Amino acid sequence: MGMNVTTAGELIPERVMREQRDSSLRRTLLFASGAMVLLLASVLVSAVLGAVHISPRAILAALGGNHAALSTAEQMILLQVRLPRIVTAGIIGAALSLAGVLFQGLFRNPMADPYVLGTSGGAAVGAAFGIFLFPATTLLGFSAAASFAFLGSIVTIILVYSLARTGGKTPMVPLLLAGMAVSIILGEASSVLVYLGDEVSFNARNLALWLHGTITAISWPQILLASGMLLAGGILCIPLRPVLDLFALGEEYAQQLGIRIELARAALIIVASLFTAAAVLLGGVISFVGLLVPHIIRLMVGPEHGRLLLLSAICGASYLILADTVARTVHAPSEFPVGIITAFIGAPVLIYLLRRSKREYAL
Amino acid sequence: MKSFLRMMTRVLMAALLLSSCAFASRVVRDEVGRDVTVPDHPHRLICLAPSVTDTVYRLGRGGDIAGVTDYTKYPAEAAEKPSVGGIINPSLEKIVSLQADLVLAVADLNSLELVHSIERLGLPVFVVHPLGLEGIYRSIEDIGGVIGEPAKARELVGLLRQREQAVRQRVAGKDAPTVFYVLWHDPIMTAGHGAFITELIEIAGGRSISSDLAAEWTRISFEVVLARQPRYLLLVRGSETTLEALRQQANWRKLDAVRNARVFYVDDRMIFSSPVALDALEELAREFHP
Repeated sequence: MGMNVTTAGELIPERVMREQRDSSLRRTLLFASGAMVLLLASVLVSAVLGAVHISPRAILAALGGNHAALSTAEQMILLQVRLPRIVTAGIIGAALSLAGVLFQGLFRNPMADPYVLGTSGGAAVGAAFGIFLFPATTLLGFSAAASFAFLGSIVTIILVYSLARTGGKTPMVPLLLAGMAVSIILGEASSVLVYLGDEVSFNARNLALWLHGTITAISWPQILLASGMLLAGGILCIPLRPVLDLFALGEEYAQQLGIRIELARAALIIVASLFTAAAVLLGGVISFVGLLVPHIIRLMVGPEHGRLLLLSAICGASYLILADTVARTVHAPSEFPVGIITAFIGAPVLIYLLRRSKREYAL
Repeated sequence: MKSFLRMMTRVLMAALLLSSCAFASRVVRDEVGRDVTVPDHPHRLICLAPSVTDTVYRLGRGGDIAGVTDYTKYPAEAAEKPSVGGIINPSLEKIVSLQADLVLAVADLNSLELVHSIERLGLPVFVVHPLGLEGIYRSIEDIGGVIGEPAKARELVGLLRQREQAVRQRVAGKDAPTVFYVLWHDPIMTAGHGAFITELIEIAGGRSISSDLAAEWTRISFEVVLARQPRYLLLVRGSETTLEALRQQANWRKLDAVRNARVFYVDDRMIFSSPVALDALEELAREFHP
């Protein structure tokens, strides 16, 4: 955080600066522990609720060492169906929220979401390929739809980035527009596949469900792979945090302070894309999470990126865990696409916070 | 003492034999070519599609069904069984909780991803893939084989074949009415080549004007319908696409069949790849050739 020393340091005494920093750290820790409590509560609520009723008392007893409290089927449901799914939802929620913070910070645009570079279009085409052409194939335990969507989203980002690049630079407005254009083309291309094939077929319905976000049962090795991506991205976020704070003040300003703009942009895009692709791999396209969670957290704790990233990840995880709990219980024993639930819960919360917020809200 | 030992050995042998019976399993190949290890005598079945449920009931094993899917209608008593959810998005938790020993699924209805998820939980899944009437017969025999009712399955298929033959004989040599099957009117959706209903229309002695369309279920332009002027419309009973609804639209009134109210009806049994489809076939033949 060289910024404080070089700019404000001359005007504000060192002691005041340190006090401010300390109180800011205290606040962050306070918020983070609050968020962790929320996450823990979400996991517990989600573990207790499901299409099959398992008594919370029996679960507690089993946790306390009395394994006979739960039947074999109940143990299987908890450990092999519910728990992997809770963890998966948490990873997706955290990854999407982090991608949202990074892209909103990069573009300084409140409409930026994890799919801003056309990822959703690439994922849709990939998923359609997987579902229509290779319905019986799996790769590393992931379905062909998930694997191709993962590839599709990565290829799309590379394509959009190279489309927007001119003269060794990647200006932001062309990047945004290229992302939008490519996303629209690819999104419609996946519809072409549907209409050429069979509109009311099982495959088409399956694709529609997938494009609304469906967290299926995933086994631990796949979860491990995805959490590896989340962890790697999270570590890369640490050096990017101050860069984002400087970007918020304006790129010229950041450049004056010695930030290599192009390199920083590329790094932000790579990390954010890693998060998005990991989320696509696990749950398809889930809208609103990556857009709403960063805004909600920013409205609550302010724009400083270190705090924003940390809290968005934790709260994003709880948000999707809770949304997925609704998705699998509201119409039980059938399941709802989680993307519908995230929109219905998240949008009203954002509107409420915007209306309540007294100060002017900007990124 | 010796006789006691001999007796004990016998008891032990018998116990071993019995237990090996109870847990005996074998490997069978399902209709999508996967080798599945299934119990020799499955007694708790989950049927992941209504057609499979109907077939199991017709093989006399409805009592062994532990779970079905939503909207199961045939036979009526099957609707009383616990449901594991919809065909594409059932609950894995519910499936595990029913403690079944065999799951029966249908390719093209249940996703392979779902099948894999169930198998990861240690439950064998036998997948059938019935295409057309011949496919239905094959699936009945395969399901009969896997649940231990091969003789009953052969008998049932024999009966169903006789009924199919009877229909064919009754309509043989009669003028085939041209029909347009309207699955939905806006956008206009119909069935093309390879769809089960197209096959049923032909066997029942009709001629579908859309049997040359490549996709099983597809949109069709109204111009084509107009140009082909079907003598009859074939509507699904109970659907919102009714003659009254069509008559209110100027376009549809250009069709002779609509103006003169020439309509046949078929009910939802024709979408099931199971024995009830034969009921639909016989009814369709009676509509075409009263």
